Amino acid sequence: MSGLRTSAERAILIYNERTKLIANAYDRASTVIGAGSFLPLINLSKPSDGTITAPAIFQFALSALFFAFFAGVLHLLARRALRGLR
Amino acid sequence: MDPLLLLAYFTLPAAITLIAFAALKLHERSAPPGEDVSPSESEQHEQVVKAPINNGARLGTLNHSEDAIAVYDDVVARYDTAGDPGLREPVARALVNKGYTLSMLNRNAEAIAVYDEVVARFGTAGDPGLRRPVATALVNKGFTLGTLNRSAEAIAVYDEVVARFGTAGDPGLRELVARALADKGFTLGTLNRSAEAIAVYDEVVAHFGATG
Repeated sequence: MSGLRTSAERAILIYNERTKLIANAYDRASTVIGAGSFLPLINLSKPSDGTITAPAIFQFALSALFFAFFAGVLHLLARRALRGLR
Repeated sequence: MDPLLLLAYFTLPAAITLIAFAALKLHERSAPPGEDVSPSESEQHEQVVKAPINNGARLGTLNHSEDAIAVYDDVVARYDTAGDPGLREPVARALVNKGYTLSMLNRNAEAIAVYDEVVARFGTAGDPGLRRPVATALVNKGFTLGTLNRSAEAIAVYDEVVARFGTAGDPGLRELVARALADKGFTLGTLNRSAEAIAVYDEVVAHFGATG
């Protein structure tokens, strides 16, 4: 016997646990995508003469910005998910 | 870099973000009924009241029952006179939890008085949010009467639960009706009225056996 352990309360509990799992997954994905912005640097840092040229650095900066944007969006989605906790 | 690889490389984060957004939307749609993702002002008040009620429940489980009762009393004192209909449910829940905590302290007479107060004050409410605390108060009252060997009164209370909420469609209420019937069967068993007890258990299976 307990206070109000109804099936409706259990549904909310399950919903909250799912929400936390989703927010966690989004934050991890955000970290992975953020880290992915460094991949072009590895690739572009292998020109024939062994130096990174100015256009390559420009490409890297743009690519990093692109990835950072989506990493940020995913992080915001994780925060939005957590706001839905009951 | 291979153009295809480059394309995949830049498409992937966008695709992941889009899928994540769609998945979150689907998840929000699967939210349990009766709760809005962006609560109204009245619902925000309810959420503010829920926090102390949950604190009280935590205190109760930590054996700080007196503190828990003080928290429930505080909730009732603060919000009972607010006049906001949305605050009646948390007040009813606080009273039910207070009654339960009192019964755990063996202060059964006080517990029964609190359960009676819930039924007297909110018993005629049509709001499903208020019907559940009323049903819980009655089931808990029946249980408390059973522990006091007042079996006849306990059975009468369980019958009242079935009479009031037996036809309810709300899953929470149906669960409480099933519990009332099961507890009634148990109480009949303690009175050596085994045939009646079996009939009640059969009724539980017949009514709720197919519930998923």
